[in-house]
Amino acid sequence: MTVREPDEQRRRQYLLGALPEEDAVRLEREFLADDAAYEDLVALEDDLFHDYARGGLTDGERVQFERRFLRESEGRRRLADARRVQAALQAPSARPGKAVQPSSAPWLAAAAALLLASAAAWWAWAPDGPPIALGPTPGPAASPSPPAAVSPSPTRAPVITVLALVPGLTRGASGPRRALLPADASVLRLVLELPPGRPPGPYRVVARSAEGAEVWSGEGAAASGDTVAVDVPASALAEGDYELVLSALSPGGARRDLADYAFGVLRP
Amino acid sequence: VTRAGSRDRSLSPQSFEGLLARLDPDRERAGERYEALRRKLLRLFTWRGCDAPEDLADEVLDRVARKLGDGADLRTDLGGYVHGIALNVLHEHWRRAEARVPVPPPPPAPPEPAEEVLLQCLDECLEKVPRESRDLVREYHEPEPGARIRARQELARRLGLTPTALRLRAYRVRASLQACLADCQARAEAGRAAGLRPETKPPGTS
Repeated sequence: MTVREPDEQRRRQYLLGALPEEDAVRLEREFLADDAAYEDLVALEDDLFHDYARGGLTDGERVQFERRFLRESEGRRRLADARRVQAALQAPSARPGKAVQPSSAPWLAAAAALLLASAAAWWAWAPDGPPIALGPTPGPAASPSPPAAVSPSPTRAPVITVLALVPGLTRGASGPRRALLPADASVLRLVLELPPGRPPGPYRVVARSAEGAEVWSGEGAAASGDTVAVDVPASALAEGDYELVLSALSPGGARRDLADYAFGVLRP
Repeated sequence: VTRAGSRDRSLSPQSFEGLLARLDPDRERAGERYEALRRKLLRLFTWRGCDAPEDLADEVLDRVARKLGDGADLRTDLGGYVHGIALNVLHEHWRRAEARVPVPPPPPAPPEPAEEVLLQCLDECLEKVPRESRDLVREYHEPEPGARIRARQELARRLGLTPTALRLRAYRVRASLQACLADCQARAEAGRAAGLRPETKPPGTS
């Protein structure tokens, strides 16, 4: 097992609010007096945002990070920025040097989809904000994964509303984040942020009403980076609150629950 | 340098000038040191989980300035003194926070940029980052926590850098890319608002 530099570990713990008070006081005296120590902490803090965006924190660190940095809008804005940068950096390194037109660069479209999902996830952090309705988006918008269970009409492009969800964290005082589904909506696209350490997929998703009745399930969705997108037919979703369980499917067909999400649907 | 956002209305200009003079005899350098100290305090309160770090940082500087104005001798260990005041302000903040009623929800986030703008900006900004830098940061952010630590150690060894130097290099690459994306999106949105198409290049040109 590789052990992180003791000093780096100490500073990470400080940033995550997990360092004993006595050590925190010592470290603060250090960086108030030493510009280099301060700059290193700033870089380490930025590391945390990018590691979080890449799903690179341990479970414990992730919870500490969310408590420390994602309660305020500034932290959520920084996370959105980090996701944007990571999405750009995860593009294939064999990319041609010449500018690529968006239509001919599927990775760019996927990155953009991830960024839009990130922006939506940012909204989802505000527990009492307005309903999320990133759309409707005409046509099958760029998606990191194929729809799980959607049969678009051959004559009319589906109207897609997008809602991004974070595991287990969307319930505020006024309930979960909600999507406003217009009358002509075909699909609610749920972009689920995957928990760290998850298996690569495929995944199964089950949506249940607040009363526990299964209203929809889909299989076969594949991850793209740190998210997986599933398309739920709008016809399956009446106005109300829902819970969604994401499971991993093993080659033998066994299922392992990975994360729960909460969301709501509003109808005009 | 100004005391924007200061909460202490009783602080005299003389006290403030006294703090600047204590930071550096040169007025301009004193201003830079004041801003640097304020940035550090702002981060300190952020890292301590405070929700109004600007106010608290200003409160600390105001108290230090007032002490100086009252004749306190802070010729040695100003940093230690500032930190002591910061801890007092922090503990007072925590006590207030315990008694506080729930705060209203944060304001809604600004609308996300359009997909077309994102695509163009991703493309434009990636062009500006050398491949080696991109590879460095990609390798640096290995997603699995255990593997990430090993990957960073190996990367630092390969590049002949200390872990701290590697961290700063990765930070600078990310910061430059982030600034480019923000700038590009702002330009594109401004162009859009003015009724122009977001920066496009005529076919056949590069």
